[in-house]
Amino acid sequence: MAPRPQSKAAKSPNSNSKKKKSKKFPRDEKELDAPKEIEAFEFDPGSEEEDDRSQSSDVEDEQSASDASSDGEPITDDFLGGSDDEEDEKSSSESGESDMEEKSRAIDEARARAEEAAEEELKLNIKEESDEFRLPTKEELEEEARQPPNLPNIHRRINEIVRVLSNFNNLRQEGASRKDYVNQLKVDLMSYYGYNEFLIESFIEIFPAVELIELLEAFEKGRPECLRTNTLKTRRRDLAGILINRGVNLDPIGKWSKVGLVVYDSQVPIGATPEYLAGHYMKQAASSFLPVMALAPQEKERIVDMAAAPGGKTTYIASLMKNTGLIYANEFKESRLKSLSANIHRMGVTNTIICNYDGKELPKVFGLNSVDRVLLDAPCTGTGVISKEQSIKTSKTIEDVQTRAFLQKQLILAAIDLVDANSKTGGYIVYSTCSMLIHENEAIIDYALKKRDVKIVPCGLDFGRPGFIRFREHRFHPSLEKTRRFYPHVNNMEGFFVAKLKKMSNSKPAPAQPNKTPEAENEATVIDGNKDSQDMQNRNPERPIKQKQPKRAGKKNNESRINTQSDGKLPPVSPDQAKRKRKAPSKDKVTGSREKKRKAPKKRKVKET
Amino acid sequence: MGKKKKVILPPDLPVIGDDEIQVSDEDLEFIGRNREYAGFLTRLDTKSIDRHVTRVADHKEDELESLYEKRNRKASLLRLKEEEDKLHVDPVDALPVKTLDGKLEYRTADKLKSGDRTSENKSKDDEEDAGGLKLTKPEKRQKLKKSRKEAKKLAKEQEKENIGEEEKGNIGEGKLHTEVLAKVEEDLSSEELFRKKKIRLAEIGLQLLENPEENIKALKELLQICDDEDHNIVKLGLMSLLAVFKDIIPGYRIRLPTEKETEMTVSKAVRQQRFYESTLLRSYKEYLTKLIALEKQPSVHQVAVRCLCSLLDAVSHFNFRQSVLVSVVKNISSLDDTIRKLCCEAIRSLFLNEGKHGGEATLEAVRLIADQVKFHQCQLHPDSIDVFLSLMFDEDIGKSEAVEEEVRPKKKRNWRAQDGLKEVQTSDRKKNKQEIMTKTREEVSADFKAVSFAPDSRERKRMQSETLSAVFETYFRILKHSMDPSTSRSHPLLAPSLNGLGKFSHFIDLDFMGDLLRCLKKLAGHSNHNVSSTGTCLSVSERLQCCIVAFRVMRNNLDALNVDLQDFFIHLYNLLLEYRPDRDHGEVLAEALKTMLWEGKQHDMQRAAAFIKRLATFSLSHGSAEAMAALVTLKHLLQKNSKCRNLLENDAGGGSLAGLVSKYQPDATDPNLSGALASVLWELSLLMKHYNPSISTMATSISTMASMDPAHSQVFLSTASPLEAFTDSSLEQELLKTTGKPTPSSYKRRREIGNDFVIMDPYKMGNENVVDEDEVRRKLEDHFVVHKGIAENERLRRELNYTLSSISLFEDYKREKRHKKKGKR
Amino acid sequence: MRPLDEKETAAVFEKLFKFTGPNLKLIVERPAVEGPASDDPGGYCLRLQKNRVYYASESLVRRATSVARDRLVSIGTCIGKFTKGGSFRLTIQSLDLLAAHARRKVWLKPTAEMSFLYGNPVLKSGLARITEGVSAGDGVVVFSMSDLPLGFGVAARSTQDCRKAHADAIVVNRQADAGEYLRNEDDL
Repeated sequence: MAPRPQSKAAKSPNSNSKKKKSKKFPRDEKELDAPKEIEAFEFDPGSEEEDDRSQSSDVEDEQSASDASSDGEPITDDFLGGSDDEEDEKSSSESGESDMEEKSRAIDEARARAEEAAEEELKLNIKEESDEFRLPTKEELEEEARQPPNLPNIHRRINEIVRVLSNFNNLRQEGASRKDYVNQLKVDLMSYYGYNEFLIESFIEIFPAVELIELLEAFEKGRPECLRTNTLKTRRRDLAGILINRGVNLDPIGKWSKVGLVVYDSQVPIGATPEYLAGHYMKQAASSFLPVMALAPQEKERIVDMAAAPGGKTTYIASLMKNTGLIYANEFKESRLKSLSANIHRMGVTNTIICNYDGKELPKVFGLNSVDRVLLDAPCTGTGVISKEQSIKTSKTIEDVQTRAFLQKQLILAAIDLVDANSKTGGYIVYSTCSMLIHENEAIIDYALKKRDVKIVPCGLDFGRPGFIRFREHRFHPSLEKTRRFYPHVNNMEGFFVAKLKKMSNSKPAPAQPNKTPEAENEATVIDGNKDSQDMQNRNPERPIKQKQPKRAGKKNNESRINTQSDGKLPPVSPDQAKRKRKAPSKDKVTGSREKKRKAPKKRKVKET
Repeated sequence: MGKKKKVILPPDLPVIGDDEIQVSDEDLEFIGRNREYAGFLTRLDTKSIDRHVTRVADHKEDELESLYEKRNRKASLLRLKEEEDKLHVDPVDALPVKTLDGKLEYRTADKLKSGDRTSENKSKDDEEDAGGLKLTKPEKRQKLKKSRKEAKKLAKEQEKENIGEEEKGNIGEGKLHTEVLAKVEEDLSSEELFRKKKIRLAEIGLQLLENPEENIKALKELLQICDDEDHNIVKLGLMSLLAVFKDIIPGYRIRLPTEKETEMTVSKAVRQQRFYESTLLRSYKEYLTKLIALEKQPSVHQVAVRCLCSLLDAVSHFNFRQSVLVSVVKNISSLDDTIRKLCCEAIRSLFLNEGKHGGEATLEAVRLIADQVKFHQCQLHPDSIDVFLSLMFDEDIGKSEAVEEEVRPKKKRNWRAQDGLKEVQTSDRKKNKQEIMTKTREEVSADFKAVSFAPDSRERKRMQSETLSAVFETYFRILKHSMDPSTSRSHPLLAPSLNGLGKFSHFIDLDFMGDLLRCLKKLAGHSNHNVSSTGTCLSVSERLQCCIVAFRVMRNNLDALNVDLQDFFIHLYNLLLEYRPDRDHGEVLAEALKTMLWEGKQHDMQRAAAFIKRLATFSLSHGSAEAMAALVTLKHLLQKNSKCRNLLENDAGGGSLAGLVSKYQPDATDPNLSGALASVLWELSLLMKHYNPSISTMATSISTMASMDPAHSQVFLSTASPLEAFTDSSLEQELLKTTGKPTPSSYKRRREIGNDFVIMDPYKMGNENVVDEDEVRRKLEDHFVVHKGIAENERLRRELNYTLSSISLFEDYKREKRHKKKGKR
Repeated sequence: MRPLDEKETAAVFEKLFKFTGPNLKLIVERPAVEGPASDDPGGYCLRLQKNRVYYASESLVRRATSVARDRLVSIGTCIGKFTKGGSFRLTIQSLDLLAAHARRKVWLKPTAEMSFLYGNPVLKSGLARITEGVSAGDGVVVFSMSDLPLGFGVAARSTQDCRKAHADAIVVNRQADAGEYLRNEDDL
């Protein structure tokens, strides 16, 4: 971490200078390489998390506490974070976006030059009047649709649009609404990355354009393979030693886990070493550590894993409990029971009862309020694991989301009903999905908050982004901020969502509800979904509403997004101005933080090359 | 009478002369051995001298002198006779007497005296040279009697042999003389007889030794004398016979001529020789039978046994060795220490110098002992088995032989090849020549073999293997016997046989190994399981030895594959708890630690951890020596398997590592199930505060190993074995910590423990401690002296200062006064 | 899920005894760690469920009663199963239990590990270490040199014979090995 300040120093002049020579590419490229190298040089796996820790207010989890104590770095980070907040925020924030965009330009610059002289020529033109980048006309589009897609062109156009959107007032072309840009962008992304419309739309809603690209790029490349040491049988140090001797190239996964190992490459099949067969480790995605860490099971507790297969989380729980207590590992799909049982036995877990129920029935089976903690890793659309499962890009539709959400709501109610609020040690529910869609995450938690006497507690994960409190027209309970979102392009792990609930009392506000309310809610969500889907096209009507909303409840997160969106519309809107002034600090904070997070992907690139 | 004196004196003087020289020599020689000699001299000589002086107090110088001379001469004569009965002891018997401790000292005294006398009488009879003699209690008593008698005889003989002198001496001595006579008369008859016989014995003996061939017949007479009803005579007879035989028995074994040999006419010399041999043989046989018969009688038991032993030792090659052996072995574990020691020594020497007899004797002896053990169901004295330890087997018998073997055929081939070549052109003559040459060569070699006493190596090999099998048979029998629960008695032979197994383990055949280990296992396991069921409970030390022996055996046959003696580890693990410093031998424990844990190859993680933990606990609860040994082992274990280092870290992860056992069970019997990995070595932090600096340093060094990364663990393996550590720290008592001394001493100790770690001689430990104590005292003393000195010094200085200051004050005061005065003026 | 009857218990114990010997007592009597704080841990017991034998702490068994028989997949540790013929055989899941209590052990050279994990018997050449006093027919647990339990089997020859045996003689006939977790996960 020592070189960090330098890197910042190295970056800030660049960022300041950027406005001046934003158009002169050759020099920009040089300019750009420097910081990249510095970052590469200073990269270490823990850095991103620390950045986040510096902001994250909550340090409940003993682990994070120990981490914080274990290294002096957080202090420096806080300092840096502070600097981001107070001093030259504007520059830093803008620099963030700007050098982002510069970079993208540089990239396609290189690509373009590689193609042919004609392209070169064309590009030069673009370079000169790059600010008046024009959206392709109808004819062009049709004409383009006829030919096989010219990916380089599309990609370049994507980047241009992103650039324009990022600085809409200056770069927008006359008469072109933001919506046109967005639509074009959507179309291009779909064709370039091969997503279906629904998914792209939902992503566009969640992420600002620039970040969206990073996300999609991150989905294109796989995540590194991760192992979890089985502390029932060995220690990470010993395991790492043995595996290294077997010719495996690995590292600790990061400061946030004591049992994780990340594997870069290996001469032997990681899934067939004697150690693996002896159950000394489990192949497990980094993201699936998180819910268990959030659950923080204690020894001698009763715990339910409502969707256990293939057992990665269950065995992790068991090893945290040192085989004491009792785990009900439930799995609905018979087909997955085999692997679940095999893993549990292989890992030497002895405190588990594996059963095969529909999660909704569990309260009837085990009895209401009968256990200390419940882990609900809900079945979802898996929009966070696209890098693993490319088919998701096209397969998932709005209907899937609705059905999932419906099921998830039933499940989380069941989970809450299982937990005993009066449990001495526990009374917690952890809900997690590998989806990134609000309707499968925040919406569900918000629903649970309404239906049961539970409150959201920090899940003890000192990194990841806070959950959305307001998403477009939805307004969620403010405490949803304590939930955590993890993104491939930020945390280098699958897209993931974790929420930890504490059950306050065993009383149900509406006893009969759990059975019928979900449907009702479901309709609601459907409507929402439709709204969302149409949203893009007909944004103008709602615009005024949208502008007023921020005033009512000032919240940083989507605040910024709204700004970027609203900027383009009616430029000299006084409330807008006023609001921006009023919200300036908050916005900058957000952008600043975002800028810092945005460093992660770059670093990763550098590392992997 | 002066004439007489002349007559007598001349032969005497020189005798006396070289007497004294001899005596003085003898003095020098054995004054060192023991001081009783001086006591003895005074005792003996003063008696006679006093008597004499009282008698001849008022004599003139020269007469006195002459009397002295006479007395001396006669005394020597008498003594010569005594010698004849007393001196029949072979040097071999004499040997152990020196080494023996207190209770037999008087004997050494006698021997010395006798040795002295032999020197005196050297000029006369050479048979004394057969050796300094040794007397046992009864003889001692008898000896004292004699010395009393001497005086009387003295008187008598004075009367008899040179009356003139007597008369002359007795002038004006009527009183004294008469009373002496009175005394004498009573004994005379028996004494006379006794004396005659003794003289007779002496004469025959002399004759025989002078010229055996001539008066070989005399043996018969000697034998007859041995039938005398007087025990003393019998003893004397036996002794003298022994001496004679030892002298005249030839260096070869006599073969009696067969009939047709007797028939065929031979030269006179040969006949004579034959006659001589046969008589010798016959009488020797008789003698033996007599000995064996007499051996039953308690009175002459010892003498008989001694004779047998010395015979066995001296003429082990001669005929009838078998019978001698039998009778000796019978006594090998007699309750009488003397006899037992004698026999054991005899056997030992038999084993040690196999040169005399080509090993057959060894074999026979071993077999006999084996039978003995079998017969008595192993209820014998340990010595009888300890004897085996002095057996010597050299592995490389026949090695050379083998070499020859492979050489010889080559030669032959060469021959044949040459034959093949020459077949064609070589003439028969040449061939014949060759044949003749080979034949002669073979004959020569055969003769040489026949002549050269040592049997060929193949033969020796055979015998050795048989001996070995006999020995091991015995050992196994003992083990088996001490194993079977029916016998709740003690197992005297167990310890020595364990030693033996330890020593000869590399000879054990692999086929035996299985059974042997099984036995050892059961033995080692004794008394923690079945002590309740049966009374058999071996001491901890014994059981530790079982483990050690097992490991020795394994180590010596490790070639084939690496066998893991799990059960013995389990036993050791439990024995660590049962160990009591006062009751059990620390060396044995240290030895066990060394053999099993310290030298052991690799252990699996659980077990190693369990031992580490237990050793830590052990070192907390025992003395510094044990603790040291334990810690050294512990450190070594930690260094060897780095996985166990998390015992040093307070790591929660470790807890669940302990396999199925989630929590440390300090009293688990099986190291694999103790779950030691769930615990941490908190003992170390206590040991760091140990009063013994070496231990505390060791503890600290161990606890620092946590940081050390496993890769470099092999770099510095501590060199000191637990045994050395133990001996060191048992030597250096807390206060004095000699750095240089321990190492050599430890090596010494280690060696002697190495070959017999059973016999922990309390003497050594004792006097060791004594040494340490007074050394400590000394140190303390001078320490305090120094302290006193310092205190004194300070006190004085204080006074000095005080006085000085007062003086100076006084000075000032005076000056003041003076000033005032001036002022007034 | 039901307790084993007499002869089933006998069959199971007999098989276990082959490996653990007297330690079988420990297996049966060792105090249980599993189970929530509320109910006393008690000891372990054997349960039969769909012809599989499970070794679980009593409290687990109590808790499992709430689960319908046809829904119960596994409880505690599965140590073996009764074949169609009604004979009992230990399965690889019992490895940990056996390894902890085994009396006879065999350590493999690193070179021989994989071959064993692919279901081959242990050859003399692959034998790094063997417990003393193994006699043919004993149950032995197979370890790697780093003390990983790899599987178990039946000794083909005694320790003594192993010394003399030639390099490619079979020392241990495999009964189960950890490789089965990969090879045939389905019939575990």
